[in-house]
Amino acid sequence: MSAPHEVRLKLAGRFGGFDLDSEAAFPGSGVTALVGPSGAGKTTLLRCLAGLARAEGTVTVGETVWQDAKRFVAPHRRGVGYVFQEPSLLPHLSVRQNLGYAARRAPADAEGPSLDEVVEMLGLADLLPRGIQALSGGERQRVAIGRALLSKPVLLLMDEPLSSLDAASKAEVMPYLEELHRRLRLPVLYVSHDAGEVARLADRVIRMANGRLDADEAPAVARDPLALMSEAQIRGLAHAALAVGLRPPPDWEP
Amino acid sequence: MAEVVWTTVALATLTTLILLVIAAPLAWWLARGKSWWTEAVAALVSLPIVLPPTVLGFYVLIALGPNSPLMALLHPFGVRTLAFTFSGLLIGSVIYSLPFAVQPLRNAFQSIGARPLEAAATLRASPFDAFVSVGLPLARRGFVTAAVLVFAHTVGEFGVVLMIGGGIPGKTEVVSIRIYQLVEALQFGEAHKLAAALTAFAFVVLFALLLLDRRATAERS
Repeated sequence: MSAPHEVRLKLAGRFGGFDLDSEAAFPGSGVTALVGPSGAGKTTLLRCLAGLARAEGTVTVGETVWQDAKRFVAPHRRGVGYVFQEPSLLPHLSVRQNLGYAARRAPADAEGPSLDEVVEMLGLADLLPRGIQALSGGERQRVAIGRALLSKPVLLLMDEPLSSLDAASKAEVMPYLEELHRRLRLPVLYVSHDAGEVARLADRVIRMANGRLDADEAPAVARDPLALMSEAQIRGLAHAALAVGLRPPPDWEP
Repeated sequence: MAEVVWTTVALATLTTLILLVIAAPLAWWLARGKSWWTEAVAALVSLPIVLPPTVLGFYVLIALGPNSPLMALLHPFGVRTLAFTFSGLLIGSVIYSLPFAVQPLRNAFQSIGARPLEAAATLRASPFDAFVSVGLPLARRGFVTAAVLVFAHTVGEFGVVLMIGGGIPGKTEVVSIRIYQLVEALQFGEAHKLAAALTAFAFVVLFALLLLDRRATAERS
């Protein structure tokens, strides 16, 4: 694995329903979860990091500038892995060809997992000869993750990779994600709605609302199940607790 | 007779090959362009559909004539004019059938959507690489449609080839013009044979295209 690169971003711009105005830095290894209500701008932020959308500002990864006042590095020159919400495999290629598409274009001198390692880590051996149409949703997303890794990215962006899957497929893919998390030192920015996913995968959490980021470095928050709940959900939980007879401790003050 | 059929087939084949090469990048650009002048170019490309072939033929004839600035560029190479030559006929045919290649290709490229190309970009494929490795293979049905339409449309053209080619036997005379000349000479028997052959050809082409379309629709659902 290459040396960890710290990722710094400061981006502002006007998009459809909101103004993006975000500044953050996160370490060049481990999983950073990006959480927040839908419409907060999480996907837009990811797209700006990948260069697929454009906002004003700066993005640097380690020493490399991806965007500043003068430069805007095209997406294909950034070395960014992107796992889309819906698995976006190339429909005219088989699983093996989709993986090869990424591997062939990865720089030879970059460090990263080999095809064999990726196939083993994600359990893709049986899928290799198959066409995309013959895969389940969970299988497609596993292939999409493997494909992103084979392009040897310096930063991996994952946009709710499990949200389009049913519960069974989620349970199927989750262990693979945990395995990746244990084995890769690549920095990952992981967008999620799901408190359970974040608790199992994230090293730290960044919250986003109305296009703004609110960095939270405390890893404990990632394990706090309330971190991702709305106020209404927390109130509901409190009412439920009261209803079953739980009471606050005597010294508790609201 | 054989040489007339040969001229027609050669013209249609070359027009098809040239147009697929020209129209692919043009249609790609039109499919992905967002500014208003993309549509201005699209309208310009579509002009041959609505213009009378005589208007188009007239302009091309002027442009290929010895006094045009375009031909002046070729004078040093010993080319005085392309009017009434097979090359001139080919240029006219390419312009005349341009919309029949661009439109199906533009539709095919648009129906790919942005996502596969974004995925390719994040896998380090340059825009040209993505055009070749994702755009072209995913639009292959558009290429079949465009090729069939252009070939058939070129076989069926009359006004443009008459204006530019002049119907010189062995050089620029095609089947549709031979039919016209046969009728002028009151040789109805010969005219019947050729007219029936062209009608049958047109039907077979359109029938094949519709069958192809139906199979593609069935595959998608």
